[in-house]
Amino acid sequence: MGTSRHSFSQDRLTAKLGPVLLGIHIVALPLYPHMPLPVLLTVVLFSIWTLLIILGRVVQPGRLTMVLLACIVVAVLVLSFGTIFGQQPGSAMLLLLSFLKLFEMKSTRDIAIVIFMGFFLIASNFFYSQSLMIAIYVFVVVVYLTSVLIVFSDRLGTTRFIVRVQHSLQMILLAVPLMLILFVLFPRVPGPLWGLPKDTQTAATGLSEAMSPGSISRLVSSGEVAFRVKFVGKPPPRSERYWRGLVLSKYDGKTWRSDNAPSDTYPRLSRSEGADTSYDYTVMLEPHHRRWLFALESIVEYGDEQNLTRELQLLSTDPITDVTRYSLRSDTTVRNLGLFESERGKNLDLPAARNRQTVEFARALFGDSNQDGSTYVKKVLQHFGEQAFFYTLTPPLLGINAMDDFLFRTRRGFCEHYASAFVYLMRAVSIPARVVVGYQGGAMHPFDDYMIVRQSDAHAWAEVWLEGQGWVRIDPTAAVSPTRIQNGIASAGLERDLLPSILVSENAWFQRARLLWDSFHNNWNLWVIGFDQQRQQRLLALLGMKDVSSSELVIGLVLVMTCAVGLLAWWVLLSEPARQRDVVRAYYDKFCRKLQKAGVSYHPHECAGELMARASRVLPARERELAMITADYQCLRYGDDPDPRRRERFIRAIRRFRPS
Amino acid sequence: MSLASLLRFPDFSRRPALAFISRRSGPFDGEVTLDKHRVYILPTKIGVLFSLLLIILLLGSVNYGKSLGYVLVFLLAGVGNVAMLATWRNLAGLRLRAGGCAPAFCGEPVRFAVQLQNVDAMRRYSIAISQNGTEFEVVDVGPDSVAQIHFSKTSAQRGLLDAGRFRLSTEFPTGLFVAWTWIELKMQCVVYPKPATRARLPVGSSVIDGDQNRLSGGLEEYSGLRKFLEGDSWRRVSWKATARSDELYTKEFAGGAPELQWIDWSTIAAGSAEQRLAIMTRLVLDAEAARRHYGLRLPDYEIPPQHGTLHCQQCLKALALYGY
Amino acid sequence: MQAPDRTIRTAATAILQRAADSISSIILGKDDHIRLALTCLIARGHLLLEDLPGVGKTTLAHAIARVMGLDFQRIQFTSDLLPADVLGVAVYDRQRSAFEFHQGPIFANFILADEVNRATPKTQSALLEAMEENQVTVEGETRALPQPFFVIATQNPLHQIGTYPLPESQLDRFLMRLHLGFPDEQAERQLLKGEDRRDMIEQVKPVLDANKLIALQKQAAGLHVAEALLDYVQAILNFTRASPLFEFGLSPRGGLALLSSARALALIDGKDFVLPEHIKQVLPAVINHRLMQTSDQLQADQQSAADFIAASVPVP
Repeated sequence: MGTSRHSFSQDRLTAKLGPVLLGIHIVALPLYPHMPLPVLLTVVLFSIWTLLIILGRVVQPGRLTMVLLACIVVAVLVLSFGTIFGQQPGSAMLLLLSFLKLFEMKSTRDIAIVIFMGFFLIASNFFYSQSLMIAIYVFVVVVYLTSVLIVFSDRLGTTRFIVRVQHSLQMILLAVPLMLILFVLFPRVPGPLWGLPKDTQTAATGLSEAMSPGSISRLVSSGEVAFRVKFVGKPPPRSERYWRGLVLSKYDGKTWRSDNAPSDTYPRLSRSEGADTSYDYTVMLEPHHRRWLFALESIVEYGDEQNLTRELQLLSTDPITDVTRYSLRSDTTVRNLGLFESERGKNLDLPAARNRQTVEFARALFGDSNQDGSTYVKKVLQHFGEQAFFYTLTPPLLGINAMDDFLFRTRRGFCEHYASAFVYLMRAVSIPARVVVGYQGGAMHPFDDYMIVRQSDAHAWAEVWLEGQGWVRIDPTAAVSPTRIQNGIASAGLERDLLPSILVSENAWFQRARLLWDSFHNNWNLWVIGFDQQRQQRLLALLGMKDVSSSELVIGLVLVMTCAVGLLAWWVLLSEPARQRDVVRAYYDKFCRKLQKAGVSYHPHECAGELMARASRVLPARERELAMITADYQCLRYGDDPDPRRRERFIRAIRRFRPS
Repeated sequence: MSLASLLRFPDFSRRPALAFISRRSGPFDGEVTLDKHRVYILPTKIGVLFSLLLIILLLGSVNYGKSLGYVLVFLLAGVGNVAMLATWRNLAGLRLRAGGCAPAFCGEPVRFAVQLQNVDAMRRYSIAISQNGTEFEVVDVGPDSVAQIHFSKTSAQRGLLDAGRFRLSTEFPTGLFVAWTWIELKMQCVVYPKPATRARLPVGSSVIDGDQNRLSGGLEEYSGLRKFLEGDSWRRVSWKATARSDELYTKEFAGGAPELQWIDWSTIAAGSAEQRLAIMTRLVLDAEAARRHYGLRLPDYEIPPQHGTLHCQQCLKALALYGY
Repeated sequence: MQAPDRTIRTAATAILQRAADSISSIILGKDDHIRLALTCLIARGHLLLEDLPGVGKTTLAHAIARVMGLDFQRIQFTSDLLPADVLGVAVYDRQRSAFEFHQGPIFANFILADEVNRATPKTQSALLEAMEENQVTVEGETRALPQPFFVIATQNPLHQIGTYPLPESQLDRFLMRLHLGFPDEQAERQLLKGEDRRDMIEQVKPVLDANKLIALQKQAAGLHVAEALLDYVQAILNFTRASPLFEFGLSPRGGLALLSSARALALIDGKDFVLPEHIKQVLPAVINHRLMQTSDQLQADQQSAADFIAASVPVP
């Protein structure tokens, strides 16, 4: 009856390493894309070595070899990262060390240590991403690693893989309620306990600090979310949704660059005109590994953790490596009034001896406008609107005199072309102007209360200094393709195959699913990744507990955990596990219970026939029914003809059986 | 890992140090159910290491403000909690009964069997038995079934050997915790006297069964020769064959009544009673090996001549318990 | 597919029922024993009858042989019986200058080995070996025994001087051991009134012959045994092995013996499959002689090992 025994020995330890090796790879899989080539090569080499040990082709390396291997690991790390400290070298080192541990495996305890290193490795993934997908993956990994732990406590090796996974899944599902309690009630400590090592190796995504032709149109084909915004009250109209990111002032003939360091001088803002043009909102910014933040034009209030430059550029103190939440207030009518002398020069600077045609055109047009800035701006925009300029994602290449080429020959371009041409035309007649990059637009989630701004909403526009008005936002793209601003990028008449599928797909089901997923993601960011002290307090307030202190929280946590563990213990230990028997037997048991109520006691060692004989004596009126049920039971349980009709008849008869 | 070996904490699980454990652990007659008072649980060294891992992970999560780090730590902490219950459950509720033993000679290990009955529908894995720090066997007990687990004990004295207190333990399913119990069952086993290396049956111990006529009457047929064994009747020695080869040979007859042999306490010349018992033990074993009919006479006890395994065991048992 | 099978089985049951009835008309009041003896025959096993002289052991054997239409040989075991007297001898034939084998009485379908405990262990083991292997080896030459081959051995349970009870380790060569016991009062009265049993045997007509019997044996061996039933048999085996009451527990051979007997009984019962009831009915006859008890505990309770096991092992 499934009993096996084994006189104790550790002989098959190396043969059991297979699941551990697989475990390391499963754990490290999400790390591999972030690992440099030498580390990956070492991993491959070590895996092959381990396989050979498992197959018994190679003996486990000796002490000297181990020391040598440790040196090699350090060498590989230094070669790849230049250091062995920091997040990335740290996780690489952990990965390689777990292989070394595999090599010198001597006892079950060593394996447990490798599994524990696996838990560390999986945690190091969180440096790169904390997305929902990673969370699901981590869950799977924990299930797997726990099942590997089972391999080593199952000393007879009688469990099959699937049984181990069942066991581990069962344990983990039981652990989930405990995890939730701890997660919600564990006091959160803001800020780091010790200095965070800086890591700058990670590739940045989204807008970059330089803009050249093509740099924004490239972004447009990405449907990825740049950030999500939750407004208090109504969101601004679409044409006012200018999400200011970077201000670019320096032009070298091809590329616009940012040249704005934060300064002690604050921007001078005009006064707000009314409550209906100011908006309070919270941005959930996806990590882009840069310092700048996005805000609706123009910012009026911001938090302590952010800095505002005098160009109205909002910066965070550290690069954004995690989903970051910040709350702001903006007013769409407020303007930046300050222009400093140092700024004026910077915003008039043009590369010498280039684009002569453009400069001449500008001067002529400026002359026509009676040297008036506002009129000139209007005329330039008129020029863009009336002449055959096209808005396209695939503009032709431009030569050394880029502006001449664009304005007088190709006349096809994306927002970065129009913005830079416009600023050039302004500076050509000594009107201070600069390029602003960020996002324009964003769509409200159709069935959730937030706005999604995607990479495809990336945009560039211009800002000019007009005497008496301050810095005025001019969007030359609006002159060429007004629908881009009014209705968003999807309806701007661009090449549809270059736009992300989420914007142009006509499959409603697909759209809905994508949006649903996004909504889920947003909640994930809000309640899991962004779960901090503030959120915790809010959640407790929702549960009716206001202003809970840390010590109260700890007491509560201990109480609730004790109750939960007690409850779990009661459930696990005292509840009889469900008996896995076949249906026929289960119904027969039911039959026996019914008989028992009628005064016919049940003895487990009795055959069906014997029970029937006894029961007929007690219930002579039911003799036929009893005989039928017994005969059917014998046929179904011991016969070789599983007749479904008989089975049904049997089950029906037992359900209907009322002895008392 | 040297780190783990540094973590030495008092290991109560190796010996029943505390008085209350001793009181609850028997000896029991009949069946014992391992209820909640009898099953103890503590983390193993790996378990302590695991909690260390959790603390480090928690510090890391706090420091880097990684929410998923918290989730992982708390999930693992939950798993640890559940693992504790699961380990406990793997042992608790098991029913124990004495499972008999195989008698052995003095100085040889006596194998005691303990019957483990699992009345639940879940399988119980990797249950180990040990005594005095030595682990003997690991078994699984299937759902609704009975398994036997054995441990051995060596006795230096003939007679009855008490099984003594033993330890049942399990680390399944995670190895983070060890659940164990100390139990003593009323279980005794016969330890036969250590047989003397050589023993000669005193001349005259053999009797031919039945009347002498049948022997001379020629009803039996001569069937062959075999080497002389201690205790063979001198009358059956083939002197002819012996003369030819320098070794003693015994004539074998078929169809006749066999020889009967008495192994008699009073005829054995030896110093002490124990030595006498040792010689008699040897004689019983030799007679059984030669497939003879033999009987045993002790001062207070007599077993009539017979042969077969059961008879042999009876004789040995009588020798073992002489004077008890 | 099911129908023809079923009719054949019904026919088999009818024949066996007739055979049992015929035997019962001679051996009165022993229906259960007759059923078990037939079961043993159908299961291709051998039968050990252990009882005092005069309770009808020989008559029962005679009657079965007669009804089954098998050729019958009775061997009276005595202390001077030699193996050759049972198996046969090779005799040198001068005319043909070659050895010629003279078959012993064992070359028959149906052997009654009367009072086996009177013979020497050597002769006993010659018989037991032949039973085990269904063949005889004399002078290095192996000769197959006729089929079917069925041995009923009788043994006097009183261990008198000069007898050699079969060694315990060899008892399991017999599929079943039965104790006939005295007939009940009513049957005994009828027995006293009625005519000589031997004459009655002569009058009984055979119901079967050797070939039909082989067919029945095959049919029985093919009966369905469900997983649940195997669980039951295994539970019984494990119980005996784990119980401190028994020295060693049942061997795998004991398990097979239980199954084959239960199959044969199911065929006699007219069932298409084996039930736990069948196991229980054959249990005492099949296992009591296979288990060595370590103590007198069961005897003190007036309980056989089989009763104890049947009352302890849950039926799956």
